[in-house]
Amino acid sequence: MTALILLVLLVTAVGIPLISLWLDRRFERNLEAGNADARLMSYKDVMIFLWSMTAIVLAGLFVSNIPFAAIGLHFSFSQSVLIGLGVTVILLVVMVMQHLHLLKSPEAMADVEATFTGSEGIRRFMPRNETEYNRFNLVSITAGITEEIIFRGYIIWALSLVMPIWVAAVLSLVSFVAAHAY
Amino acid sequence: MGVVLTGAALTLITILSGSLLPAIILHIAVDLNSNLICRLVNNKASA
Repeated sequence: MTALILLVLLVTAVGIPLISLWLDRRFERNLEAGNADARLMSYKDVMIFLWSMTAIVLAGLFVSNIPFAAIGLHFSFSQSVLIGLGVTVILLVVMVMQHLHLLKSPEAMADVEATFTGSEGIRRFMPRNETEYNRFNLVSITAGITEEIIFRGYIIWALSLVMPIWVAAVLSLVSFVAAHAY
Repeated sequence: MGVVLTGAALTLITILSGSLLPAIILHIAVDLNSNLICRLVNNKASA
């Protein structure tokens, strides 16, 4: 592992959870100050932060002459990729069915409501009006692309250079959960 | 708990497929779905 790969690994695996915590504290202060745009500003901060981290990861790979395909960022459709896409489709169908069930079942809806309103972190961060819903959609797309490149792509790949891939996967998961701990 | 399970599922799919594409699609869908659920919860609360 080169010094640059190690540095980017530290910045992502350790830096992202710490900076996420700092961003959350800033969001909290904005909310407490009564800033009506606190959530919109926080969504913007999260997007800028995640895309910046992704740029650092991709630049690190580029400078090190490592192809993006090494971290799984490729668009070839081998049998294993097709199986992965198949599993994804199955999970998406399950998700849609759960959503439909939610619309029909008051008990299920009450459970979800309790989960959303019971957690202070979720309650504070959840969008509440059209503008916030629209920006949260952009956050969703940003998180989907950037967090996968960083956590499932780069961190697992870099750690797997010096340890078994399953251990690398668990450590990456720990970092991912820590980044969402707020 | 939800973050752990989602992260674990995304990790498994990525390692088994050797590609980020399935996890990216699933992650985006999960987050967009949570936005829809927020809308439902808010609509119900204000109804």
